[in-house]
Amino acid sequence: MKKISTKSKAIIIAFSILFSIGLAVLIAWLIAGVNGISVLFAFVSKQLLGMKWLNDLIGLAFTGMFGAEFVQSIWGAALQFFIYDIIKIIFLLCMLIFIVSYIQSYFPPERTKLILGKHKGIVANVMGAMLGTVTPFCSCSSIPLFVGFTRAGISSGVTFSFLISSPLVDLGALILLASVFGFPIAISYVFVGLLLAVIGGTIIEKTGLGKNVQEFVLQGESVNTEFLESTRKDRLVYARDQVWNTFKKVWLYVVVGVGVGALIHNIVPNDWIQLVLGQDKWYSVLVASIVGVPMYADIFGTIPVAEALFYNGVGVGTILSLMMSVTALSLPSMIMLSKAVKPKLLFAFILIVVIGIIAIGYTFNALGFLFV
Amino acid sequence: MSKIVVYGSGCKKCHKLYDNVLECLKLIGAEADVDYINDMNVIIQKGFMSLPVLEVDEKVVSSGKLLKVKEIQILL
Repeated sequence: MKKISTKSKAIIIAFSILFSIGLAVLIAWLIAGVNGISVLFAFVSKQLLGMKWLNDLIGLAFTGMFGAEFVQSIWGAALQFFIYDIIKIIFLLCMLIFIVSYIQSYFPPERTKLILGKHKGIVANVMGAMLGTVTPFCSCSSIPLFVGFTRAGISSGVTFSFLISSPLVDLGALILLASVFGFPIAISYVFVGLLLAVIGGTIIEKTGLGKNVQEFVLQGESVNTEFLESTRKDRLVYARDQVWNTFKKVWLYVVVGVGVGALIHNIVPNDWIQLVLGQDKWYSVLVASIVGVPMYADIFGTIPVAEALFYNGVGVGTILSLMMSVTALSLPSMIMLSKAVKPKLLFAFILIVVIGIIAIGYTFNALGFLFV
Repeated sequence: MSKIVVYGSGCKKCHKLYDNVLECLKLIGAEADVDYINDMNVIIQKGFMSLPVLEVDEKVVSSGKLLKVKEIQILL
């Protein structure tokens, strides 16, 4: 029997996925030209990922059970949004965490450290930002990770690129965003998230702020522990356990998020929202970015709120700013980080991220017409 | 008698792994010297980056995972 290595197997799988996507796009193009392609993408994001059919189904069920009047009332509509969104997000969440965890099992921090150690300059920053999206780590491991990176000779800029992108961007967020806002916005979110990570890290390094770490971080040898190679079964078990653990951890955020979303969507008067976050208000992005910093929620809890704001006509940039500031800066990780870096660097880090988020918000609001 | 060490930063996951190790030993009726280390300096010196880490006889058998009792049984 011919032996196929895991690496070439992975390449074959990746190619066949790309091939099927390409085939679907080609068929759509042959049937309806360029229009066909955009219809296909809209179908994937609205029906397949966004599950609009589920919303319609719940609407029909409500009409059958309580009459059309109930569905049109604000409380009926809020309840419909609540049930639809909870089912949708939890379903997508479980699917995505499984896939993402499986991919993550290939990138333990120890391996990421070795990969990053081999690169220099801006390439290393980009790699740091990208690996930040696929390396699993919880805030309780952030000190050993920070120290491990630094002692391995990875520059402060690259480490911060990693730390900025890690909570901000991940594959799961990309798909969930696509389900709510469509692919153009989702892909732009990922792109600007990575850009912020690269630029933020570079600034921290070039200004010399990155040297402000606690003494103990630098005193010591770099130690490379061997990491354990996993079998496919290990990875599948790991991915399954991650789904369950993440579910246990975030379900409350999701329920609260969807609840708040349903309130915003249907019950809070739209005028109020427009007053604070309206497109025509110059301060909307500023408010969204700063309000989000002390809030701590998983990206999955933020999306229903973003979704509701989006339907109420709040600008795309304002929404992205809110999501980014809620997820990127959280109290637990700040507390952990403050043990390894000096206050000056910590504040510079927070400042750079907040300014970056605000800039992204204004840019997207100005260019929003391109996406919606 | 084997020597088992759990390294953790004091988070929930790490504590639970320690508890699971103890439970596992009770279950299989084995005696072992079990240690729980949450001294950051030791952890950093060892170069661990994904906690919790489970070490059996000075050999890392698992890192970054909260293992269940059954899974620990296989590793011991």
